[in-house]
Amino acid sequence: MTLWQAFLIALVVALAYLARRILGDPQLERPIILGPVVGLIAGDLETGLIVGGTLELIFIGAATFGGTAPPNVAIGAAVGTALSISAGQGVETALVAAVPAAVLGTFCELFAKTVCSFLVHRADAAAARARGRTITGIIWTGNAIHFLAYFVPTFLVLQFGANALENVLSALSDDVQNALNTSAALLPAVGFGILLSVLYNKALFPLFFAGFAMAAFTDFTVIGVAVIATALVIVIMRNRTPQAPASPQSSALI
Amino acid sequence: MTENASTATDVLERSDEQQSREIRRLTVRGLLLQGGFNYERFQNLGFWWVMRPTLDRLYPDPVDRAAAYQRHLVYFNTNPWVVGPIAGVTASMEEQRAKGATDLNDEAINSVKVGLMAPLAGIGDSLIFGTIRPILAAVCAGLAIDGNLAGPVIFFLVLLAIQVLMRVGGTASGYKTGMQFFEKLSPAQIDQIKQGATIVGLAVTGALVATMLNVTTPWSYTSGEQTIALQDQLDLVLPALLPLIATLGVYLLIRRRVSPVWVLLGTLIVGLVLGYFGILA
Repeated sequence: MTLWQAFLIALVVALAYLARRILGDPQLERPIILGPVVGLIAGDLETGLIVGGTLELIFIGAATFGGTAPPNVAIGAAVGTALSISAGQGVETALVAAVPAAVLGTFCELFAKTVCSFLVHRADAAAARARGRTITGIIWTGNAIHFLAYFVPTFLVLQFGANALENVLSALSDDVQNALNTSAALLPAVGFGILLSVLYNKALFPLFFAGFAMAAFTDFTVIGVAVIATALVIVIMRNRTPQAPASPQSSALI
Repeated sequence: MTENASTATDVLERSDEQQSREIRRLTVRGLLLQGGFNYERFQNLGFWWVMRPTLDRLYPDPVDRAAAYQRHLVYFNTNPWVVGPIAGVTASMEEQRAKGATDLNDEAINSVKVGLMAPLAGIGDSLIFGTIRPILAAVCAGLAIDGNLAGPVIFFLVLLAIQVLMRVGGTASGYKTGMQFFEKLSPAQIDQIKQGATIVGLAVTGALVATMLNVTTPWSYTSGEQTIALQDQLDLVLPALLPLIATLGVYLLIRRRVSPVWVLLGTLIVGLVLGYFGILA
């Protein structure tokens, strides 16, 4: 990992998160996007694609719903992809680097959002005097803080973490390699579990098991289950809307 | 009094051209909703940014303008993709207020904003981020893992298309129908959309667990001459039982308000330990 590669990757991560602030949250920070981009910078697009796809499954449920702080997918994905390429190791290595990096990233995110809380009071004072320009300046200060909170740690980890990781990995035994593989296989459970808790609805919960059974016992793919469920929803909604728009009984059923 | 009112109306009579320019501006500014995001009032700075040109136009007087600025610096939080209708409705309410609609006081405007931001956030969160994005992500991740560049490209383009449609359509209908947007999309209907999304989302999550989570056990035991692999026995009972247990375990921890960050680290460590001792693979 050269200085320039680390710089570029950190820049990409920070810009992806800046897009979340100023470009309508286009989901550029998702691992499936960042993985290939980082792979391209680090000189191995293929590994970037594979690591990005794998990490996307782990973080599939991670999203900011109502201001909660999920693991920071961008820093995790970028650091995982970059270090696995520079260490010349497989996907499992990427995961072991990505998970702690994502946790570190969460603290950076908390820090940025907390600092911005202090700025709000300056905005109040400016609003009382109808100083629009000052408030605009405060917003961009907040954006800059967010940018730095992602850029600086990513750059530091890439610059100083790569060597350490390589040394650790070169000393691995077979047992440890097995351990890494297992952890990599188990981690997507976190993504699915979080997704499940986001979607939680007491009355509808059994449908999770219906979808599971459909895919576990047959050859149904995810898309197949999605199509069947969507068709079911359309039928139910059509039958319900005209006659009883807000009947409490029917809404308890669905 | 009469004279003032008539000049105000002259200023505020909006041609179609002016209206569509306003809608465009609100749509584009909506992209910055999460600018300056903070833990005290979330997207309040971003919402002010969306409203600013409208407020500047409607309230040339500094005192009125200061009040309008403060009115839109209160707590605001919604799904970033559904801000369009809220900005549209709010702008048209501000317009009515500037024309002299006395019932549109601070409280009325804020309660409409709050009344819209929560249910629309529910739609955005459950429909887009809770259902459509995970389905898309699962399919595209499958492609990417096979080394296919179409994975990330499709993911990006489909989400972009959805977002553009939601923003453009949402702002225009919010602005043009004003407060009637509320009645067009009743709370019961909003609830229905959420429930429909939840149904698909839950079924798909179930399918994801069964297809995308490959946790097995290498354990086997010898009975007489035969060696029986535990995994084969499990498959006879319920295929993908171990992935199901792992997912429900995570789910229960999250429901008990354990931070996702700790769950992630914990899972990493559990996987390392169970893998090291050959209990899972």
